[in-house]
This record gives sequence, C-alpha cells and structure tokens, in this order.
Amino acid sequence: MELRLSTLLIFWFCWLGSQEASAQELSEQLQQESVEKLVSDARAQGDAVQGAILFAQKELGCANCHARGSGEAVGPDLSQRSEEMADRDLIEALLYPSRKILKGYETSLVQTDDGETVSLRVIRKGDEILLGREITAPYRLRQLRLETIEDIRLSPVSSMPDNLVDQLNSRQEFLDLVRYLIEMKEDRSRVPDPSGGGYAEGRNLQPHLAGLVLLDELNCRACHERAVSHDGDVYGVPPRQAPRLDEVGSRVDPEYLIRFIMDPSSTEPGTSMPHMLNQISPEARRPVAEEITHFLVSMDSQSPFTRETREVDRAKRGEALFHEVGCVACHAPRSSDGKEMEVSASVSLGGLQEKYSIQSLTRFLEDPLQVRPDGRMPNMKLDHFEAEDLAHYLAGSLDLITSTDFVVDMSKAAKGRSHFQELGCSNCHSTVGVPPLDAVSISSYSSGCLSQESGRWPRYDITRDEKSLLAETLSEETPKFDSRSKIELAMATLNCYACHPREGLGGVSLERDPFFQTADFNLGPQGRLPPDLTGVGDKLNAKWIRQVLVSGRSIRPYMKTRMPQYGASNLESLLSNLVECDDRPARSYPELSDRRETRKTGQQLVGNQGLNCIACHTYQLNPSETMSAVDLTEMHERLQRDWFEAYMRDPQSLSPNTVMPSFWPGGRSIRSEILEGNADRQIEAIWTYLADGRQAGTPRGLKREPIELLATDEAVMLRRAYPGVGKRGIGIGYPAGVNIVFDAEQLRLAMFWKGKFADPSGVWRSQGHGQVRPLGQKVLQLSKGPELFDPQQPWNPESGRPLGYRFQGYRLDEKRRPEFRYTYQGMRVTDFFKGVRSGETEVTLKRSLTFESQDAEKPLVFRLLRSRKVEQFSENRFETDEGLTIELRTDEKWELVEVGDQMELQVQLVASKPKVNVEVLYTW
Amino acid sequence: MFKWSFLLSALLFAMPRQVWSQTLGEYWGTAEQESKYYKIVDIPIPETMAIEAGSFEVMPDGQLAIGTRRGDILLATGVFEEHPEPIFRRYASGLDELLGLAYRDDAFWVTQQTEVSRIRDLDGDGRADDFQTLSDVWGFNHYHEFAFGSKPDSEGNIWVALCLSESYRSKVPFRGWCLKVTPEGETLPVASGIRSPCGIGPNEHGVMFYAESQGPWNGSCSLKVLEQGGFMGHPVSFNWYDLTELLGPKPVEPESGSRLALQREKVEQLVPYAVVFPYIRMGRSISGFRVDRTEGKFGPFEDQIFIGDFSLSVVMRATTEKVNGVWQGACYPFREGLATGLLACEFTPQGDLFLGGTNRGWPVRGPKAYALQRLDWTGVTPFEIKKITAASDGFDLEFTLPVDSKIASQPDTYHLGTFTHVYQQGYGSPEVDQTNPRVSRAIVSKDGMHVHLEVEGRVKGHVHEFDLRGMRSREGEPLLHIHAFYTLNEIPEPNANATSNSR
Repeated sequence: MELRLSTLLIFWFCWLGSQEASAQELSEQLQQESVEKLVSDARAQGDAVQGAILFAQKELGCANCHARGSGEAVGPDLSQRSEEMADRDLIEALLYPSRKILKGYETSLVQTDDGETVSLRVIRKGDEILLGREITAPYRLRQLRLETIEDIRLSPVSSMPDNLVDQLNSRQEFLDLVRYLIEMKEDRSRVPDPSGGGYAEGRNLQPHLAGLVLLDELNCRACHERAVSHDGDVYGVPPRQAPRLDEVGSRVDPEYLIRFIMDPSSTEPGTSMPHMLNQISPEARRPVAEEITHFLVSMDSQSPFTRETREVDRAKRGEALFHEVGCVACHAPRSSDGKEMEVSASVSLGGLQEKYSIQSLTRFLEDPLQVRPDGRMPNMKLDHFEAEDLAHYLAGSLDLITSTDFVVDMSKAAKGRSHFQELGCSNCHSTVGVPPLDAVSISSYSSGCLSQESGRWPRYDITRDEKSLLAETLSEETPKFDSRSKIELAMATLNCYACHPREGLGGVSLERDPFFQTADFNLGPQGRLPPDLTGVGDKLNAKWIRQVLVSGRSIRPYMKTRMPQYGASNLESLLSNLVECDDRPARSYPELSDRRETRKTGQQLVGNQGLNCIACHTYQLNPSETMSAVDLTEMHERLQRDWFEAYMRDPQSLSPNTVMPSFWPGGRSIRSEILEGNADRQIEAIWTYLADGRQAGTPRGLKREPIELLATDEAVMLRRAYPGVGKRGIGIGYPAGVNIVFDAEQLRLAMFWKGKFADPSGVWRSQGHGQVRPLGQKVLQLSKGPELFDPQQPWNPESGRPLGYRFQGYRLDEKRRPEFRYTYQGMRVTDFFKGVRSGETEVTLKRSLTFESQDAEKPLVFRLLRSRKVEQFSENRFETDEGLTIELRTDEKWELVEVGDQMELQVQLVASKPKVNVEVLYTW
Repeated sequence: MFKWSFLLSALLFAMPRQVWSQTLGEYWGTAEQESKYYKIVDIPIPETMAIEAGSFEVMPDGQLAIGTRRGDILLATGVFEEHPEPIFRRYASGLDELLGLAYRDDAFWVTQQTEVSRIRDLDGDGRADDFQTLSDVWGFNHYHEFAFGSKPDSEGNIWVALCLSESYRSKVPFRGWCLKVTPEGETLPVASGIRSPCGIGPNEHGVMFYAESQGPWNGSCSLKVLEQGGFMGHPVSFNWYDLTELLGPKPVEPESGSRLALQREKVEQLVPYAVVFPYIRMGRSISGFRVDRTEGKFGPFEDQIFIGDFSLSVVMRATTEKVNGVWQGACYPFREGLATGLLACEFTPQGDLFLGGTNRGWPVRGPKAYALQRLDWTGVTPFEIKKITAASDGFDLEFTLPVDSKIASQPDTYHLGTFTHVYQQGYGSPEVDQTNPRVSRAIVSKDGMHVHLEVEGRVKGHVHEFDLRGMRSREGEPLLHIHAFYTLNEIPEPNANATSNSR
C-alpha cells in the first residue's frame, strides 16, 4: 500500500512537471538538477532581498554561523571568500556540505577528562589553552585547558547540516538564497574588517590613564591635596565616593562590620577599603572596631539588622538573573555550588551572606546609587521582585546565620565617633557631623601609604606594580586631557569597557562571553553583545545618548544583558565628551522636492514589496516574524543621518556583528525598479519615511496577530458597530454556535450567523472607526426599522430611532445570555435568544418574547419577517427566498401582509391582554 | 446613495486627522529631575490582557475598577501596593468605550459611547448580570462621537460631555452638548457648544468642568466650566435648541476670526475657557482630571487639579478661581515621560496618582500600546510655583518651598508675556496679540512662601505666561518647572480682593 502510494506520488509529481517539492525532499530534487542550471537560474530568477531575509531566518540560521567580519564564528565569513568561491561552489556547499570543508572550519570532536565530548571549531590552539566555538546553539565560545583534553579528532562531517536546504519551502527560495550569496561575495566595496569579533585583545589603557583610574579607585584624593586639584571634569567623571554609612546599621550585619573594620582585605578580598587600624596596636584593634561599629549602628538605630531564610525557588531565579542581566560583566560568575569562578578583573563580592540580610541587599540592589552615589556600582534596572530574587541567591543562606542581638552602647558609640574622625574615616565616608581630616600634601613616596612601612597612615594591600604606577602618576603633572582621554578615563572608571569596546579598547572578554545571552538567536552576535561605541557620538543623536545613559531607554529587548544606570550627575561630562570627541561635520542634504512622494516611496521600500525591512525589523513594538531587530519607528530619533547613510550602504563596516544584509552591494540597489535603483534616492526615501517616527505609516507586509472573540461555554458579547447595523449593535456569540446582533437603536434583531463569533479588529485597533466582522458563515441580515410598531405611525427605517422607544438594557442568565428589555407606547417587551442544537451539526436560533401591556391604548404589531417573498408551508412555518425558515409559536393572531413590494409576517398584539408570549425558531 | 455619501463623508473627516507628520513637539526636559520627587511605578499587565484604560474608580473594599476602551470593567487587587503584583478579574465585558465609571449604592454608574448605564451583580458571583440603560437619548452615528461621563454629583447626576460628530458637524441629536442624567434616568440638557471633550469632573471647588481639545473655535486645549445654559464656543450644535427648553433661546452666532474676549460681549451665553493649556508646551490633548484630596499624601499640591495629556503622555496641574463671577486660573507642568497616551487618572487610597490609557489611533509620545502606571510621591518636596491667583494690581504667587527673598523681591526675576488665540471656525489658532507686561514690584512674604507681584500692562482675556528661570529657593535651588500660564478673563476689583478667591 505504501509503495503504491509513493509510486503514485512520483507519477503525479512527474506529471505535474512542477518545481515544487512537496513529495520529494527539496535537497533530493535539487541534487538531481545540474549545478550550471541552478547557477544560471539563480542569477536570472533569484530575488536577493528574499534571500537576504532567508539568510537571517531562524529555520536556516545561516547568520548564526556565517557572521560577517568575525573570524571566530563557526563558519567562514562568506563575504570574504570571493577569491576561492565560484558560484557553483556556493551551490555545492549548500547541497553537499561535507564534500569540501574549508580548511580551518573543520569540526573537532574534543573529549575532556571529565568525560564531556565537545564539538568545536578550533579557533586557536596555544601552549596551554584551546579556544573553540561550539557548533550547536547557543554557539558558545569554549576555552579548554590542553591538560584536561584526553582526545581530539577531526570530524569528516561538516558542521553545516546536510539537510539544511530542506528547511526552504521551494526551489524559488533556494534560488533567492543563492542569489543573495552571490551578491554578498561580489560586494567588493567592502573593506575587510581586521578587528575581529570585538573581544578585548586590543590595546590597553595608557599607563598614565591607568594610574589615574587606580588613583580614583583607591580614592587617594580624599586625603591628598595634590591629587584633589581636579575640577570634576578633568577625569571625565566625578570622583569616587565611599559608601554612605548613615544607614549601614540596618544594611550590614554589625558583626561583619567589626571584622571588616579590623581587617578589610581578608574579610572582603579585593576591597578598595584600606586597612585603617594598622595605625594602632594589634591588641587595641578589636575594641576600636567595636566602638566604631557602635557609632555607625547608632546613626540608624530605628531599624535593626535582621535576617530571613533563603527561599530555594527565588534563589534559583536570582542565580539566573545574576548570570544574565550583566552582574557578571564586573563580578565573577559562579559555579553551580555558588563558588566564584576565577575570572580575571573581577570585582570581588566577598561573603555577602555574612554581610547582608536578604532584605537589606534587596534595598541596596533596587537603588545602589542611594548608598554609592558615585555610580561605580550602577543600577541594573531590577524591579523589586528581581532584586529580591537576586538577594535570595547572593545573601540568602539555607542555614540561617544567627546574628547576635546588637545593642548600641552609647558610650562606646561616642568613643567610636572620635576614632572615626581621628582615623580619617570621614575623609572617604562623608558623614554628617564628623568633619574630615585636613588634606595631607605628598612630600615623598618612600614613606606613607605607598611605602612598605607602617605608621600613621592606612595600609593598602595592592601590588608593588600598582604602587609604582600610583607614585609615577602622582609625581607627574596632570595633563590637560582632551575629550578622547577623558572618555577613556570615564569608561575605565565606570568599567563600561567590560561590555563595550571603543576604539580598540575593551569589549566582552572571552571568559565572560558565555554570559552575554540573547532572546533571539536569529540576530547573531549582535543580538547578545553590547554595541561597539567607536564613533557613537557621531552615530547617535546627543539626546538619544542621554536617554539611554540617563533615562534608561533601551531598544534591544532581545539582549539579556541590561544597560545599567549610572546616575545623571556621573555622566554629564561623559555625555558632552562623547559628542565633542566623535563629532564630524555633518553632510548637507538637498531639500526634497516632494516630501510626500518621497515618504511614500520610503514606505514602499520598507514594506514587503520593496526591500522588506519589515521582515526582520520591529515596527511600533510589533516584532517581525523573523526576528526582533531594532524598531523602525525609533531609528530617526536615535540616529544621525550621515551614519544611517553609511550604514545602509555597508552595515558590516560599521557594525561587524550585524546580520543586516547589504541591500546596495557595490552601490547597486537590489531593487532596481524603484527610483531607478538609485541608492542615494532610495536611502533618502527610507530616511524620509522613518522621520515620521512612531507615526510612520504601516508598511505592507506587517503581520498583526488576528483577534478572535469567541464564545466559550458561556455567551460572549460586544456592543459596537456591525455591518449593516448602526453604532448601537449588540453582538452575541452563543455557546451552541449561533451568533446574533441585536440593534439597540432600532430595537430589532438585525443579523445572525453560524459558527465563530467575531473579529473586533475594526473597532479595537487604530481609532476604532471600523466595524466588528462576523467570523462564521451563513450571515443573514434582517430588514431595518423597529420590529414592534404602531401601524398608524409610519417610520423611516434609515432614520435611527423613531420617537417613543426606550431601550432599558438587559439581564444575563447563568450562561451570560442577555434578555433585552425595552418599552414602546406602554408596552413592555423582553426578548431572549439562545442557540439550540438539533442533531450532530444542525443548530437553530430560538427566540422568546414577552409583551406586557401596562397602559397601552392601541393595538400594536410585531414584525417577524420582511422579505421580497415569504411563503407559508405549514400551519406555523414560513420560508423566505433567502433560505430562512421560521417556526412561530403563539396564541396570538398573525398575518402575512404585503407592504409595497415586500411581504411581512406580523403578529397582532391586542392592547387589552396583560401578557403575551411569542416563541420563534429560526433555521437557515 | 445614502450609504455612499455617508461613507464618503466619514472618510473625508477621518483623513485630515491622520496627517502623519503631526508634531509632538519638544520635551520639557525635566523628567530626570521630576523623578526625584515623583516616581513612576509600572503596574505589570498579564500578557494575555490588553488593558486600555479609559476610566477608573476606587472601590469601597480597596480594589481598583478599570473601565476600558475595549468595553471591560476589570477589578484589580494589588495595584496600590508599593511593589504591585496585581490580579485582574473581569467584572463585566462587551461594553462600548468606557469613558466614565463610578461605584455608588452597590452599582456601577457607567458612561459608555452608547449610553449611561447602571450595572449590578444581582446574584453576587462577582460578575455583573444586570445592565440597566439610564439614558441613550443622544444620537450616535460615527465612531468619533465619544461620550465622557462624570462621577455622580452631590445629587447623583452623571454629567455627560458629547463629542461632535466630527470636528465640524453635529449630525445627530445633542452632539456637542453636555447632558445631565439623573439617577432615575431622566436626561436634562445643560450646555451646548462642546467640540471634542476628553475628561469631565468637578474642579477643586466642586463645580463641574470638562477638558476641551484644540480644534475649530478652540485655539488650544482648555478647561471650561459647565453651567446651565452655557454655550461652550462651537456653534455647530445650535440646531438642537429646538429639542429642549432648558437652555433658553438659541445664542447669537459668534463671529469667526475675532477674539473670545470680544465675542463674550456679544454672545451672552458664551463661556470663556477657564484655564488655557498652551498648545504643545502644555499638552496637545488634555484628558481625564482629578482633584488631589489626599490631605498631603501626594505632596504639597492638595486641592489642585491633576490632568493628563493623551498626545504628550504628561501630567499637569491646574488651579481655578472665580473672579467677577467668571472662572479662570492657571496650569503648571508636573511630570513627563509616562508610557502611553493618558486618558484617565485617579487618586489611590494611599495618596498616589493612578494613570492609564492607550496610544492607539492618534500620535502619542508614550511608546506603549497601553499601560497602567502610578505616580508616587517620594516624600521630597520639589521647589515649584504652587499656585498663581489674580490680584487687583497684579498676581499672587505661592511656592512650595521658601524663596530666596533677595532674588524673589527683584522684579526682573519675573518675565511675563501674554497672548491670546484667534476665536475661529478653522482648526486651532496661532498665539496672537502678544504683549509684555512689566513687574513693577515684588513683595515677598515673611515666610518666603508667597510673593505679591504688582504688574503693569496686564491684558484681560489673555493667557499670562510666567517665566521664572532666575528664581531660587532659600536653599539656592532653581525651580523644577520655570513656567506657569494664567488665563486672565477678569481682573479682581481692588476692594474685593479678599473675597473673590473662593476657597
């Protein structure tokens, strides 16, 4: 049977002569064709724009491995392979990936001594370390010590999957992709980018700048006049400030404080707090540390330090946050048992479990600038619950550390205060009521802080090299820095370089690279690595830089690492320096002759009939189907036009990590039919379109989530405009699968249909100027005008509500089905509908009306049908020529009346009867 | 034919509103500073819910009721917490643009686009089941015919401000009117001449006001008083005087291209704007407003009006006073940088200001399609112009913190300018007839909280613009916002000074 079916399918396939691969896999089909034919078809019929989009698409994931400009990706940079690659090589590589594997891009199977097997592309192999990139998502960089490697073998199979082509939907898509690859390799306008993936292997900070950074870190300026001579701007960033201590009593465990004051560097290795008590005899240190602690706690005696137990789930979430949002850009990542890994240049956290309580660390993390206004520990934009999770992870402990009740002894506190002042603590920790010591001028470096001797100065546990760097820096005249140096100083001081490269300095280190993650792998490295800030002052508008730095604006929701907040006052000079340093004279652009027309063309280019930007870019917060690339409607607010122009022509030259394809390779447009393929004019048009910002018109091809409003086991209602019904329509979808619209303006059953209820997009999107669209089938409209009327008073069915009617609302039953109520000329009406299933598939609409006459004087008429033709085919059944059958159940008199060219089925309501029931069954 | 002409006119009037490059202007640039005093707290919304808030009510049990543009009444718990973790429950659904919501006597009193309704939960299952239509006597034929409803006044009446059919038409009954709906469902016309309202409620003296938008016969957005028989300025709705006797005879048609102050003399019923919000500088579509009755929990602005703006996603303050029988007052910048177009606001029992809205359909600065946010006072008092009132010889200024009396007593600390708008049928108006009054003397009170300005050259009917960039507090701080705008319809009599400022 199966055999016969497949034979049949092949026959059918051959008979069709189709190029669609529905039965046979596309790869098999293509392999049967000649490569030459595929090359010529790709050149003739391939659409490079569609190809560019496919290149970046998740299913194919080309861009994951073939990142441009990076020599460290899994696969080769295809734009750099023009020499070796002929068109046919491209096709062969796609169809038979393992036939020819480019040297240097083989897969190595590495077995480690703990039994792990890793499939890597080896990037570098040094004397001790092997650096490679895993060939499967998330394509992590791995650094393996050679001594831990048991075995390495080269795989004969390419890391490029065999069946990749089968992810495409059609031969045409294959041609599109090949065409784009051809465009890419022929784009010789590009200058190869030698800088690699942006890792921190570039230059180092110049020594005199590094010395100043260290000088700042140790806050030498707090005591030494010589170094204080800064006006805030000399260093590009306001000077360091030690933590504020006015609330330290509720923030930090007093026991910990005592230990820390006694010996800072062994309590918290790596702290910049010097050993202050080395100025006094060892046996006096404990009591002095205690007295100082009494003083500190006495400043905040209202809320004593208390601890809570760690919650495992919350700690788990905290662990994820810690390694994801950017904490480990500065602090050491931790192994699963919570130990800090040995990663160079890490700011040690010390024993947070002993230092903080969960609540006190939460408060700190929510607003670190409150305690440390200098921004060296920035605000990571954690919401309260995230901060709590993180605190559970970092400060929580399963076995509750019991802190001894610390009761402030005021006499000890008084002594503590004088120690605090005499030792010069308030020089760094400015404290209300405790004046700092006078500044000390530096006379020599052979005694004092930088010497090996001890005396009336604090001890700094820093290396010999660091000491000599400081001495050198202090002895030199501080030069008048230009904006470039000030930026470097500021970025080093605030450790911006941990994430952002700029002018060859800094960037994510190899060790920390795995912790920079993305929510959208389609975006390649750009989706997870913070941008290179080289020339950023010329790329972004100054206002936008400020928005990002100061107001926390962010446009990369896919990047898991957060851009922290450093506090406005800490960034003022960095902001102005960036603008000053990077400023290049802006080009002038000609006035547009027809702005409207240009904008329209731009909208066309952005849409799927043009360059299809909308296929990858977010539009007005709606992510595209392919990926969530930066929002189109924010481009103009962010970017300077010169940068935009250059970027459009060659994205990779400005942003090596981007997956953005070039749409004007070599200056030629891929869409030659728009604006005669003129690159300048096309880019101008897009820019003009983007200038409308969030008001930019919706480009074609934007996919919007459909909205469906459906009945559940209860009825669903929506009061809005429906086709053919005024604005006072009340639509109801019944659980049984029938739907009606009651017109509360004209008090009539206006329409009904079967199946799904409705799509409210027309009234729930934009200004709401549309209508609700019935989703089901067999939509029947009934005639206009009130159903209950006085035959003596004619009305115009188009003129809204005639006089005398009063809609009173409705009540819902237990299934939320409404019973409508209204009055007319003393007649009180209730009108109730429900769906009735008859058999498996059939469903009818049952209507129950009551008429209560209170003070009605005249007989009224209730019109059930009005149609060109109404036929009676049994005692109480009628059918219209539209295929509607109704069954009438009532004791009242009814009649078929001709009104003009229409026929009406009318029920007579006599004024004298107190209550009348009418039941109607609609079948259609 | 009918259908086509209807469609065509709908298109014609919908299109000009969609001019893409409508500017949203420049930010005040004060958000960073403002955040020290008033913190924006985001209320998380579940991903499955699109909450386009159009109205709020604080329930007796401390829940927040939210009326939405999509027609839901939601009940939310946890939204007033310091760190909100809200739970939303659907109380009613399927309604039409809820732009007025109140809860009294175990029932919701709701203004929807189609009607005023009383909504109850009779079986006590937490969901509404009884929907009683109190009034739907007004015509409703075009989607832009919005209806904004107040909370019940002291007599239980709901005041409804009805938007025109478009900017230039009143095609069905009472479009452009204010109606009063009694608890029994009787509907009483109050005033005519409304253009496009976006908020309605009592001012700080308990008198009903509404927020009017810039457009035809409205040079800029403004707060106006609603009083029986008033004509709010847009004459296209005069045709409905035939349907009621409650407003008396039809007013004289105002003359286009004149000034409101001049036309007031001719058109007896014409109600001047009480507080003008200069276009873009102070919003572009002022919306829902509430009076701060938190007794200081929201900072130093007790008994002042707080009003949002849809286009610019900002919150502003306003104060009003009655001078020579005419309402007038001032507006002041307050907080910018909200996440979406603001439609409604409400003070919480904790004394925070709850805000919400949507940005769909019209140009809006706030990037989110919809959002719920809260402004919490941090407890730090900003240095602000608290209030400006008119005096017979100038203005009285009140500050939130003591001023530096040396700086404050120098007349050139105060830069005053005036302007008005053309009162015209065309859309909006430029600012015209500018003058520069001169402060001749500035008298600082002992406590430094008040300054009396003697001013030469004030102009009746003009907006008086204050620029106090040189002002410093006693601590040397500059003002958080240096501008304020006083609409001077009337100048108090010299001897009536003390009594004219109704409190």
